[in-house]
Amino acid sequence: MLAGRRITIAIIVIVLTLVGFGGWRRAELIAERSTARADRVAAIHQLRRIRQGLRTAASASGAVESDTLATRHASEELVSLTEDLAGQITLVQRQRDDAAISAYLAGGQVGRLRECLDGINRALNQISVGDPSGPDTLNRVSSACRAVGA
Amino acid sequence: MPGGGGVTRRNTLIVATVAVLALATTAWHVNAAWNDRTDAVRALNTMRGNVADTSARFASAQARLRQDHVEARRVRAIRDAAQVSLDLRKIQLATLSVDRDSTSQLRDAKNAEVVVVQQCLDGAGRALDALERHDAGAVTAALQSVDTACRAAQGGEAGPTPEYGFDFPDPYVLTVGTDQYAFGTNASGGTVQVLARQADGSWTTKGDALGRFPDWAGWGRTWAPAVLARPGGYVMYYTVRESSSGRQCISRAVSTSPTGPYVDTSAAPLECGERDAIDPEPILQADGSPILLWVHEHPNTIMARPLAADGLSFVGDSQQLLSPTVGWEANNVEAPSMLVTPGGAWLFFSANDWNSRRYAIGVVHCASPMGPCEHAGAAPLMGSHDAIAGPGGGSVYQVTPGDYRLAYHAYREPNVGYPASRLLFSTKIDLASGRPVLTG
Repeated sequence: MLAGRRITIAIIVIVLTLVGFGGWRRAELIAERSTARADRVAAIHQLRRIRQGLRTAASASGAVESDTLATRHASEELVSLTEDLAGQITLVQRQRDDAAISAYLAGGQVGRLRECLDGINRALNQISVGDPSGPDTLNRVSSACRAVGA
Repeated sequence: MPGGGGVTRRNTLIVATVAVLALATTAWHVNAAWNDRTDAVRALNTMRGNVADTSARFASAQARLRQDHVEARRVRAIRDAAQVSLDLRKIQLATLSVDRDSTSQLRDAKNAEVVVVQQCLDGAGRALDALERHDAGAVTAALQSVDTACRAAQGGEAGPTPEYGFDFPDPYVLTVGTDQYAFGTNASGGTVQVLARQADGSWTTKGDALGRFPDWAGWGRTWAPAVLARPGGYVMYYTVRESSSGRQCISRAVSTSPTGPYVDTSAAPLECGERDAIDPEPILQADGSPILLWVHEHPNTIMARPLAADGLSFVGDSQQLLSPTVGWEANNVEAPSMLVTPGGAWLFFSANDWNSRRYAIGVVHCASPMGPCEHAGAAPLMGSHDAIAGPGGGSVYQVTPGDYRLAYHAYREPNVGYPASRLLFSTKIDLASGRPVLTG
């Protein structure tokens, strides 16, 4: 009888120990589950932030690409305009050079004409007052006068 | 004690049963907690996997954005460079266009100058041919045909354009109503050149105003004519060489028309002085009576003497108005002209060497047209300036009441000195300051 009581007491002790361990273990598991859930919630927030950043980056990237494309088109248009201007510049340079050559040639002709005219005017002035130097004056400008066909 | 043994077994059974139930319940709770924890951890791991994947995509997106920015900067730099290149080309084009336009204008001006000078040259050549043939009419026609061209041809970039394109020394301008006539020293246009003002303000030659030389005079040194309008006609005073003495003397000729022909029937000069008398100019005093200004030469002195009402002879005595006293005159005063005012008169004159750039125009104040006059100032009223060289031979004339002008001749640079032409110019006389100022 005493042995049975001892067995019973032993069983009770063992069962209480096991139940106590089970309770401790369950509490621990519940704590781990709570931690995991909290971590998941934090991860969800993090994921939201990252996704927001991702959307922002994608949007910014699209905007930058669009802007870059527009800039590239603008650049190509500028290059095209510059090439057009280069053509105009070449044309205007040619016109200026032609005008300069014409002006130079006309200037030379004016110089010869004026030299001849000045000589003829001087001769007119001399002959009209009876100065015998008129023919000599004409001789001095004869080459200039011949050059302009006078 | 069989009863006691049964109770014990029963109690033991109860305890065992309770123990089994307690253990089973405990095991079920622990198992449920395990499952919950396992599910939570799995969900957490799944979420962490998502976070990792998304983070990787985010990093990739950021890297791409950085590359996009780099590319954008590069493309902007290319565009900016293209813009700079375009702007530079625009500036170059604008500069070249201005250069081309100015060069084209220069070319057009030169071409126009060629045409004008060529026209003038053609006329001058014809005039020369006619002069050598002694065909005065053809000379006048040739000069008339190129009046405009030669006036333009004698112009230049600096200074005023002459009013007439041929030699026209010692000008005198006569105003008759709204018409104007200019008389000048002998040159290609005649022994006494006469011009008529046209509607556009330019002058055209009318040929030789002197129809007949006096018997006592010789041809070739006929200078500084000036005309006085008298009732019924005009009296022209001019300088001419006395054949017998070789002196330069003053004579007078008359005409019923301002342009002539003026006829000189005098038997002797009007004035010769001891050596030479030159540069006559008739002046009307405030009371309308005429006087004659002229120059006695060697040494030069500007003289004045009243004329008879018909202008053909002197009345009264002569007066000395001005002798050279200051350095810029270089011992020579000549070519007198006068502007009569209520308070006296302004005597204009020329001084220094007529054949040089030093010739200049001066002015002094006189108490009356017959003097006395103050000495000349330290500087001339007009000297050489711009392309105007050796201005002189000035003569005052009136366009409308109060609107006085000074006609004068000058060489035009670089053609200075005989036989280069002395060209006709005129400028406005402004009396607002109390002394004559030339303004244009």
